[in-house]
Amino acid sequence: MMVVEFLPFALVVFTLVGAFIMPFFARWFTRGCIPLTLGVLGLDIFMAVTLLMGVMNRGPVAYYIGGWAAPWGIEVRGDGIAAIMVLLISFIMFCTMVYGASSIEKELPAGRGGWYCSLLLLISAGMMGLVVSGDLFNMYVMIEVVSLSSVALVLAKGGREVLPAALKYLLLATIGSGFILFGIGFTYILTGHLNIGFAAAELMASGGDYPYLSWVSLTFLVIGLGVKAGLFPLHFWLPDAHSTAASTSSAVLSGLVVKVYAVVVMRLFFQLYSSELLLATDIDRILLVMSIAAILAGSLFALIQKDLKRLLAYSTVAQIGYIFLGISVFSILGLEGAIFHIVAHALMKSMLFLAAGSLIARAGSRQIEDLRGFGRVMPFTAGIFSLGAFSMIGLPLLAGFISKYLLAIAGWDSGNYLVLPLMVISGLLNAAYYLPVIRVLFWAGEKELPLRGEMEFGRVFALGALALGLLVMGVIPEAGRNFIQLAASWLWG
Amino acid sequence: MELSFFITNYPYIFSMLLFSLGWLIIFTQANLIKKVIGINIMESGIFLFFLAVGDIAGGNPPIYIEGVDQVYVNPLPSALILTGIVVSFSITALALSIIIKIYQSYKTIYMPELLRIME
Repeated sequence: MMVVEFLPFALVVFTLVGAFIMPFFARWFTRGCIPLTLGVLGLDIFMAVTLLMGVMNRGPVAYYIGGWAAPWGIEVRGDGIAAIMVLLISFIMFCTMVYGASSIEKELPAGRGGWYCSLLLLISAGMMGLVVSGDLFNMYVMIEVVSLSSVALVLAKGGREVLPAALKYLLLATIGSGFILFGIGFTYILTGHLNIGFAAAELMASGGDYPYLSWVSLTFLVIGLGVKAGLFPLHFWLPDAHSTAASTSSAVLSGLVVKVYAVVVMRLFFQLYSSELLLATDIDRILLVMSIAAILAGSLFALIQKDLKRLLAYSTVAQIGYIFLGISVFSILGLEGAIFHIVAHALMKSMLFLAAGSLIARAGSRQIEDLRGFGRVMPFTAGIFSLGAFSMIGLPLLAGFISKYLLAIAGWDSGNYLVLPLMVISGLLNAAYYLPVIRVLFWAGEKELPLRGEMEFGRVFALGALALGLLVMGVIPEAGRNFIQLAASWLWG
Repeated sequence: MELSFFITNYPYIFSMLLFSLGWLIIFTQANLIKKVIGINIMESGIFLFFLAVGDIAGGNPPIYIEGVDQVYVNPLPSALILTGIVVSFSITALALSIIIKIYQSYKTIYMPELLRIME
């Protein structure tokens, strides 16, 4: 059937068109903005499900824009990882928007709601374009779309606190894209192609003749993408940007944006470079050390935070470490664990940020101490927060446990025996900084509390939908794992 | 390494120098406007690199003329850099507008003073 091949391209263009007509609504018909965004994202979910089903039945598909065949035209890939990521992006975006329907007007300065919707659609289109792209330069353009609109998402909240954080984010993102573009240039010198498939074939044939050039291009790409993904020593922009933004922005930035760069790393590692070339550079050892450092340092920094959103942001630094750990063990199982963790962490971190947003909006402060007792005031929201925190710790029956389990097994199988104790230690560290927050939320002490009452229905519904996704992934992991297994084995090639 | 290596590869070496200089400026300068200038120097290094990749000694502009057999330079890197320039332009615009906002709300564009006010 022709339709499935066309879908990855159609998804990106459809979302982009939605983003471009949104300013007209924002200017002249403000009430229509949120329904239009929800409509576009809802249709995206429908198309993404169709794509996932089609791809799983028929194998990976490719579409060439304008009908120009591969080395000249731009290839759009609909393989397993692309289909999973597109569904994940549209689902999380939809839930965030349902939540945002009641929170945007309160958190942002008046009159920015419509423009903010446009920005959310733009960043979804960029992320979808990035995961389906089969062309290096197209990837660069989409990376720029994503990073510029994520800076704008941080800025959208207004007020003077976000400005230095956004500038820091913009400067580091620019350095990152500079490194990525340089890396792409080196790959182009080496292969003469920008299409990933053709470049990979050329590297396979002649990559060994120019070892230094291929190492340099790999180094530049890994540094650039590492800055963008917030991998440990390059993470210092992340806590500021993710904690000062509005709660819907934080959910998107922390749940999705840092993940799509990890997906790009997977594509480059397993579809562009051959494994001999990679293993000759010891990049797997380097990434392993970096990701272990990320897991430990992110958790330790999170331990000392007094600000709830900063705590969640540092927890993201640690969780990015898990994803890169899965990539760096270099096995199908590790890749599967990494993809599973991308999905699980996207669900739980957006859930945690949105629930924290509700609690913070009610309490009027981001300090953990000021939230004392608010679990009694908003039992459902605080319960959802606890569910996300338990999943982060890795309690069984929740998605966080499955991904930790997969990563530990993958590490053991590939001879990295340190990974198993590392998972236990990091689970304990996660418990050490999440459990006090839950305790503060539910044990009020002598404090006087406001009247009991949840937030608006939209916020509660969005949190419930995300929690349901997390429970399905955790209780019946086979439902999602079949797709993820297939995606990992296709990516491995 | 002989001297000829540096002579034949001078555009690449120069572009690397510009690139490194650019991000060194971003990291070391205290003035926010100078950081933006650093971004532009860094991007220029990348553009120079791409143009050098596409260039062929003695090549003509890639315009096809019927019946004339000639050597063309590779047009693809130049086309890519056109996109790169647009991206760099939008980054500069966004960065400068953030700096204007920072100046309006903190009354300074010096990083140490900004950090002191934020404390």
